[in-house]
Amino acid sequence: MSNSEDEVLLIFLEESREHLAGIEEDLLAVEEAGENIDQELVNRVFRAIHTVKGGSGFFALDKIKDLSHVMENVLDQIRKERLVPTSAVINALLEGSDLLRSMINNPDTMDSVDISLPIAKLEQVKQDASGGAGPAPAEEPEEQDLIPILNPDNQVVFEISPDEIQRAKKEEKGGNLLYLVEYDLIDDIERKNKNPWDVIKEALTLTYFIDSKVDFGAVGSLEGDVESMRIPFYVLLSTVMDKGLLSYFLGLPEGQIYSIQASDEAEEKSEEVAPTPIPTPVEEKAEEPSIVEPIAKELKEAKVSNMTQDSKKSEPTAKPSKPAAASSSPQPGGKQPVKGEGSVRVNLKVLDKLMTLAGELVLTRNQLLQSGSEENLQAMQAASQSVDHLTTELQDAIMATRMQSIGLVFNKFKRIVRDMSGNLGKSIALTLEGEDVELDRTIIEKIGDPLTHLVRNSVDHGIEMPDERIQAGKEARGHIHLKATHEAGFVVIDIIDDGKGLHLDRIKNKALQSGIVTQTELDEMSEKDIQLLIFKPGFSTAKEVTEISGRGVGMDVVRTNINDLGGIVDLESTPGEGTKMQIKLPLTLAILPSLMIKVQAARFAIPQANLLELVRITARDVKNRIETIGDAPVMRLRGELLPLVSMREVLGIQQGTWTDESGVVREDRRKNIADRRSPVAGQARDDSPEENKRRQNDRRHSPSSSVNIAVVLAGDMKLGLIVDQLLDSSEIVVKPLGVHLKRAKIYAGATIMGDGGVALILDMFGIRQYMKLDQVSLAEQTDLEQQRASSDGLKDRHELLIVENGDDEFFAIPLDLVLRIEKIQTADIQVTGGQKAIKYRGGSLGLFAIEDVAKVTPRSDSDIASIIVFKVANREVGILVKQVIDILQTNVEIDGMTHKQDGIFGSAVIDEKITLFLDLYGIVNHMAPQWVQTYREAESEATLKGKTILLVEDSKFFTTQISEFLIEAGYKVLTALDGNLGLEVVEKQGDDIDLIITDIEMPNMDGYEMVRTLRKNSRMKDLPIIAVTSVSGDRARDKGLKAGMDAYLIKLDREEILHHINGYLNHGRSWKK
Amino acid sequence: MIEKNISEGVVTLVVKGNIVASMAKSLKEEMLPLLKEEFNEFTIDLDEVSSIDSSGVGVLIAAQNDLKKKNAQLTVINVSEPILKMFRIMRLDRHFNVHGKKD
Repeated sequence: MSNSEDEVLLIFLEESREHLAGIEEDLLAVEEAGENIDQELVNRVFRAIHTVKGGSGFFALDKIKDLSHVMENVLDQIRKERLVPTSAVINALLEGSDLLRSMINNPDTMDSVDISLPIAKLEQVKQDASGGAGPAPAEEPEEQDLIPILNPDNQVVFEISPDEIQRAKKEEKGGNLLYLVEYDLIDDIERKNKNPWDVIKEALTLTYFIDSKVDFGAVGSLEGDVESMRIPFYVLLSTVMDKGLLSYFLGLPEGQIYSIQASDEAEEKSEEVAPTPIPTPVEEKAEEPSIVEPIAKELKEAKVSNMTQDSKKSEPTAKPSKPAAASSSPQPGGKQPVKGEGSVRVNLKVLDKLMTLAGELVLTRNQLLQSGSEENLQAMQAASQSVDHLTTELQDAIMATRMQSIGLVFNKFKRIVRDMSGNLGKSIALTLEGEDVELDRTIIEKIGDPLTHLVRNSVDHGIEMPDERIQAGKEARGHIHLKATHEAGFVVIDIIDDGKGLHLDRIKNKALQSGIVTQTELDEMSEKDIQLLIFKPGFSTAKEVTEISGRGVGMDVVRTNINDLGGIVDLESTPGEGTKMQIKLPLTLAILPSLMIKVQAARFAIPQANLLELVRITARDVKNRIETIGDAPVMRLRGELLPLVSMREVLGIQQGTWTDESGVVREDRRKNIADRRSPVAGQARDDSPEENKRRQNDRRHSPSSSVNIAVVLAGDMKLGLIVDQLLDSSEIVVKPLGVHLKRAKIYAGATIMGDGGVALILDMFGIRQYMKLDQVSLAEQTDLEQQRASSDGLKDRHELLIVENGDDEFFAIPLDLVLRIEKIQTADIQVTGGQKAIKYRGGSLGLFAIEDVAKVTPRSDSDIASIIVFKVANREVGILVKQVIDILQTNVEIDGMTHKQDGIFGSAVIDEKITLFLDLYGIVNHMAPQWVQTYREAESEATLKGKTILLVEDSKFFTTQISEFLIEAGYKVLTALDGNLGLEVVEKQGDDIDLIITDIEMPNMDGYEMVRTLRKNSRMKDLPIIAVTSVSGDRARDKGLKAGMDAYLIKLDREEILHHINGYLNHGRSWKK
Repeated sequence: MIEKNISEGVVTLVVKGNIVASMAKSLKEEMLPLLKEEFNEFTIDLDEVSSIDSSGVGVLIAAQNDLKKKNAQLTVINVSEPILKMFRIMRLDRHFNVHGKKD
C-alpha cells in the first residue's frame, strides 16, 4: 500500500505542512534579530519542528525524524543563547526545513532523499558555535550515554539522551515529572474513535511530548496468554501534572501511566552541560501552584473537547476542537497556515455565524411559505426583504471561509529575495505592506507564480549591483516594496523597486528584432506603450536567459495568468528611478461585480475590472465626438483617440435593426455609427432625393438615438464598446460556459439574472482579439485603402492636413504631398541671408513661413513649432507652422477665387471654419525662384513643347490649376468635364491628342470606365494616360492600372505630373515599365 | 467457528464470527499447532468477521510475530471496510498482508 492511501498519515503530513509553512518567515526574523534572541520566536520554530518530529516517529518516517531532531537541537542551542543565529546557521536551518517540506510534500519518494548533507551542516554549525563561544562550557560529549526507559515488564521501550530529558523538563508544558504512558491500540485509541496521531497531538498539547512507539514485539508469541496479547502504544512525556491529573486528562487508568525516575547521575551530568541555569517559566510553574491552576483549567477544557469527539464518529480526522487548538496549538499565533488542496480550515466564529444564518434562513423560508399560502403580500415583502438581507450576509460569511490573507504569498518572498540577492551579490531590502489584505483562496493559490515572476524580475533585472547604485547616486541597498491595498472591490498589489527602470531603447530593439512591432508602429507609440510591449508574447529583454528569472516564461505568461484570474497588470517605470508593477485583482472569482448592458434583447455583463468609464454621446454630439478613420469609428475622449467597437458588429447583429419595447425587431436606418455629418471623410454625401428626405426627419433628434459607450480596458488597450443600453451594475455569480461555447472567445462565462434570464459575461480581451484590434495602425491603413478602392467613382475626396499658423487661422495641405511632419524648437531656426533653415537629418532644411508669401496673420510666437516637410524641385523643404491640428478626409468644394493669392490656391469651409489651401509649390517658387528655375530648366530640355494634352476633370478648381501649369510648361490643353465628354473629345480630335490626364471620380462616367472604353479602341492603345486623384491608395492604383492607366498621381503634385508627362511623351507607354 | 483448509502447502483459516474474547482464544488454539507445520502460505479469511477486539488483533500480531521467526508472513484477506480502515490507521498493514473484500 502506498503512503498516500493512509488517511492518518495524510492528516499528519498536512498538519506538518502547516507547521512548516510559518517557520521560514520566523527563521528569517530570527536571523534579523541576530544576537537579540527573541525567545518566543525561536520557541515557535522549535515547537513546529518538534511537532513534526513527534509524528514522524510513529509513522516511521525516519528521515524526517532524524532531520527534525538535529534541527531541534540547533534551535535549542539558539534558544539557550549558546548559538548566535548567524546567516550560516539560519541557512542550514532553512535548508533543513526546505528538505523537510519537500519530503512531506512527496512522501512516496522520501526514501530516496539524502539527508546526510543537511544534517552534517546542522551538526557543523552547532559544533562551530560550541567551539567558538568563548568561555562556554566544556565540549558537549559526542556520544552521550542513552538512558533506557523501561516498561513494567522491564523491557526497554525508549532510549533517550540525558540532554533530551533535561530539555523536556525545562520545556514549556514540560516538567520535572517523566511518564511512560501505555495506551492499548485497540481499547484506548481505536475504540475511542481516535488514532495514534490524535494521541500524540494530545500529548503535544498537554505536555512536553518526547517520543512514542507502537510495540509489536510486546505482543509476544501465540504461545502466550490471549489476555496478555495487547498492543501497547507507548508515549513518553514530561509534565508538571501528577499521575492522577494526567490520568484524568488523558482518559487513561492510572495503571497505564508509569512514572520514570531518570537517574540523578544523568541529571547532574547534564546540569553540568548547562552551567548557567536559565530560569524558565516552566520551573516557576512547577513551584507556583497558582500558575498550575489556569493550566489545569485549560487542560480541562481540552479534556472536555476530547470527550465530545466521541460524537463525531464519522469524522476521525476531526482536529481537537477550539479551546485546545486555540490556546495551545503550536502553530504560529493567529496566522492562517497554508492549506493543502482539498480542505479549508474555517474559523469557528465564521462557522457559528453560518449556522446562525442558516437558522434564520429557515425561519424566513417558513415566513415566506406562509405568507405565500396566505397571499399576504405585505408579509411576503417583509420576508423577501429579509431573504435579501440574509443572502448578503450568508454570501459574506461563506466568502469569508474562502478568504485568505495575501501575507501567505508575500511572506515567501522574504526568502526568495534573500536567497536571490545573495546569489547575485546584490543587497536588497524587501518591505511588505498590507499582508492582512484578504483574497479568495483560489486567487491566492494562483497569484503566487506570476507574483514570484515579477518579484524575481525586480531582483534580477530591476535592482542594480551595489556599485552601480552608488555610481547612480543611490543607496547601495536596493529596495523592493510589496504592497496590497483594497480599492473599490479590488485588491491592488504593487511591486515597487527603486532599480534602474525599464530600458526603452532595449525594449524597442528587442521588439523590432522579434518582429512584435514595426518601426513605423514604434514611432507612433508613447513611452508607456513601449513599456507595455514587454507583455507581448515572444518578448524577453534579459540579455541572456538567466538562471534566476528567465525560466523560459515571459511576461506574457504573467499577464495571461493574471488575466485568467480576472485581473489586470500594469506598469510604470522611470528610467533610473525604478519600476512599479501593478496587479489589480478581483476579491473573488466566484462573484463578479459587473455592469449589465443590453444589445437588442440580449443582456451581457461587463466585468467591473475591465470597465473604465461610461460615455453617452447625445445625438447632437455624435458628429463632433465620433469620427471615422477608414472604416473604423473612433471616439475622441479627452484628446485620446479610442477605437470603437459596436457590440452589434461583434455579435453579428444586423447594424440596421433594433428591438422595440414589444420585442419586435425593426429596421433602423442608421448604418454608420458616426453621423453622416461627422467630420468623416470618405463618405461622400449622398444627395439622392431619399437621402435628403431622410435627413429632414432625422431621428437623431430623439434622445434614444444617442450612443452609449462603455470604455473598457482590454489587455493594455482601451476601447469603446458601443452598446444599445447601459443597465445596472450588479454582482453576478460566474457560471462556466458549456463545452459547446468554450471556443467563443468573446465570452468569459455566463450568469443567471435575478429574473431567471441568462446573461453572458463578455471577455474584453477576447473581443479585442476577435475584432482584430491588435494592430490598430495597420488595420486602419487597410481599412482606409479599402474604402478608397470601394468608394471610388463618386466625388473627389481630399485627404488634408489641417494646420494652424496665426491664431485661429487654418490651412490645409494635401496629405499626399507631405513627406513628414516634425516638431522643432523655434530657437533652432537659423536665418542666413534672409533664408530660414534648420539642421535636419545631417543637412540643412530650407524653411518657409506662410506669412513670408501670403498676406495672413503671422505665426504666433511659441517655443515649439511644426514643420511640414515636402519636396519641391527635387529637394526637401519645410513650411513652418504653429501646430498641426488634424488630418481629415473631406469632399468639400475648393473655392479657387475668393482667397487666391500668392502661396494660397484656394479655400474651403472645413468644420465651419474658413481654411486656406496652401500652394506649397507657389510658396517656394515665390521665395526661392532660382531653385525651381534650375530644376525646371533641366526638365524642360526634355519637354516636347506644343504637344496636346487632354485633361478630363470635373472640378473647375483643379482644371484651372492643372491647365495653368501645363500651359506654363508649354503644352496645349484640351479639357473635358467628365468621362463621357472626354470620350467625345477623343472621338473628334483623337489624332491630335498626345496624352490624357484624367480624374478618377467624375459624374456620369468615371475615369476607370472612360479609360477602359478608350483602350478598346485600337487607335488609343498606345496613348499614355495618367490618372490624377486627390487621394492615393494602392488598391485604387491597381484598379487604375488594370483599367489601362499608365500612372496614378496626386493632383497637386505638379512636378511629378510634369515629370511623367515628359517621360511618357518621350518614351511612350513603355516608359516606366 | 473456524474452517480450516490445507492444500498444497497453503493454509487458509476461514473465521466465521467476530474475533472477540472466546473466538480470539479459539483462533489462537487453532493456529498454534498449524504454525509448527510446514506451509508456504498462511492466510486468514475474515469474510464473515465484522468486528475484532484488542485480543483479536493481539492474536493476529502474535501469529505474525511467530511467522516472522520462520521468515513467513501472515496474510489476512476479505477484510471488511471498517476493519481495514482500523488496520490502516493502526498501521497494522505494515506488519502483515492485508487485503480487502473482492467486491
